[in-house]
Amino acid sequence: MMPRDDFESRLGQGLKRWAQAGEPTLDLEALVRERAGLGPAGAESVQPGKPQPSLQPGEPLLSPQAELLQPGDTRVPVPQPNPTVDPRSPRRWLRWAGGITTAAAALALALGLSFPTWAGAVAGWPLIGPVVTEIIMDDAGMKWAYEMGLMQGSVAELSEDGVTIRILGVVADSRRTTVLYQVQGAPPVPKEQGKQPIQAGQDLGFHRPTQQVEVMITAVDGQGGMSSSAPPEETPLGLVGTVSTLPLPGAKAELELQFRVDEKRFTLTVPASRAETDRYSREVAVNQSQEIDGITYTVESVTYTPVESIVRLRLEAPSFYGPIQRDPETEVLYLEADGVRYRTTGGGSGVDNVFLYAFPRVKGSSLHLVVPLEVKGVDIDALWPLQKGAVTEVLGVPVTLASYQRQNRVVQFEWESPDRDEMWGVSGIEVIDREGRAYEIGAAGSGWSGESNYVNPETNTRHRRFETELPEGVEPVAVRATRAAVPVEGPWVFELPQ
Amino acid sequence: MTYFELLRAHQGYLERIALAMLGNRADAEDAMQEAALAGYQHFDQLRGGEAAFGAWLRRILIRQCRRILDGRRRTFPVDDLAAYIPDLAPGPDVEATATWEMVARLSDHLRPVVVLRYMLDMSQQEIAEELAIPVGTVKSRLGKALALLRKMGEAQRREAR
Repeated sequence: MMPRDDFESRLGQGLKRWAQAGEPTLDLEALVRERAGLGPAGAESVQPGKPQPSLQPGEPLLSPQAELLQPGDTRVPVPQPNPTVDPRSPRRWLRWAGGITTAAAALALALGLSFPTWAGAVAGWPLIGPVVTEIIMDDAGMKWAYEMGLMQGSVAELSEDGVTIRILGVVADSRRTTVLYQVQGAPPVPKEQGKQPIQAGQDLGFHRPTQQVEVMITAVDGQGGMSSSAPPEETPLGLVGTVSTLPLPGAKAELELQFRVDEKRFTLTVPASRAETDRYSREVAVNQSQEIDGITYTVESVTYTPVESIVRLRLEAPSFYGPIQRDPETEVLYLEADGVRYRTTGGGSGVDNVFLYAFPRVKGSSLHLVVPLEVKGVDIDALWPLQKGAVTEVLGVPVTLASYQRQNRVVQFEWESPDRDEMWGVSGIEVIDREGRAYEIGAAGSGWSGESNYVNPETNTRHRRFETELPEGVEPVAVRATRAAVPVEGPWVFELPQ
Repeated sequence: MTYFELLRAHQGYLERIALAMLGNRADAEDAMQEAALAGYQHFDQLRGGEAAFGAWLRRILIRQCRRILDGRRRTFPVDDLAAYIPDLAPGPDVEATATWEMVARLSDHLRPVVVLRYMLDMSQQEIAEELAIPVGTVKSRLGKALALLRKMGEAQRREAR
């Protein structure tokens, strides 16, 4: 092991002192007693532990599948286990598809800084600096485009009513069209805390801060379309963020962007070109479709760049409209070449049911895209009174309303159900008032929602959480779910021409 | 000592580990709760007596953290991002606080590797096993993280002058 230098030693000592200074903030005993079905402390002699096939000291943590890509295996370029996103949630891909990396990289170019100068400059930016460097290094396409000098600087600026918007750069290639922007003069973001333990009479901690800037690419050469964006980052340069849409249909296009800053709206037009990046790419049409149990996947094309294989995939399936945790070893699509599996190196950018997945640039006698499993949404009508412990059966699986919390108009529901393949969570949430009127809550495009959906393998329990804001004046007495997720076993297998 | 007495004795430190791994208090609390419950349910599997309790529960906690990190990468709702800003919890002195503030700004890819390496003194092989990633990935992430932390450290020093 390499000896640590002075910086590393101070880093370790600082972190250890910081950790040792931690004080308990949770009443874990009460929480464990509640979830383990015990009475309050002192009510009985606690004899924890029961024989369950779970953690054993020394138990290997790597799953058998994880052995597939072993370090040091010279056959394999060891792709990083990059994030895989839920293709049914187009708004969710950007953050993990390298959006801010793109932004940061383009920022350097837009500012006219060479890399060493730029690296020095961003070192003084406490927030954006680390993000910038990591994104360039982690995104093979970005790194390559940056090194080749193919990122497009495109500066436009608009100042009005005390707000200044700058378009700092555009990155257009066979995987995405991303615009980097800067907004100055926006109202400050309220600093919100995450979920806190709830005490009687105490405010609930879950809520969503107001997003004071929203950006959309509303048209490409006058044609309307969808775009994906994540909340911008606060930096010393103001708010910096990205908004993305699919690759340009032609070599060049005009992008129309709409900004909402607080209550003001602004429109800007910027040129974008993928002509330079396309010189290094080769797109091969595939147009193969496969349908399994109502879910159709179509591989439209595969584009080979010097560093990536980019698969353009269309998914037609009844949507679930909710998040689903997947096992990256067995439930996420992969590229297979001569018996070796490669995971995605970049998330799929999903707009209008089209997703672009990037894989390492691999060559082999046969190249296949494999989708092992997909999830579809089915209609249900499941109702729970707003009582903790209320149970309703969904597709044969008992689903318990484990908790219901509310502060003013903000509500949070948590359901628990046994981990079974018949049903992977509920969505399409409505609340019912005393008169029996139903109100859909947290629907896409109608406001904010926060949610999670995962399985705790220790308990084989699925946990589904959904929080959002009630419509004005609505007093719910029950909650209803109208959709359920149902897994569909594949695989969908496509041979990719080279 | 009972399970809960042992838990209380280690809780503050473990909460900080969870916060360091996950970067925000909300997820750290979820991980702590799950780890505490799993520890309770498997307490009879603890080997080595009370002296081994801290390391044993820490391992359970790290598994919970990894699970949350994996799930977050796949299903993290954009709408929640602002609620998951790094939690800048204070340390016992200025240097410890500043160290955490730098580490807190690292991404989900880099921060856990730094925490396991420098806070918990794990080897690269152990980190690879805990996070189920290749050792080569651990090395590259540590390299990137250290480069970023050094830059941040330099920036902090410049500001302090």
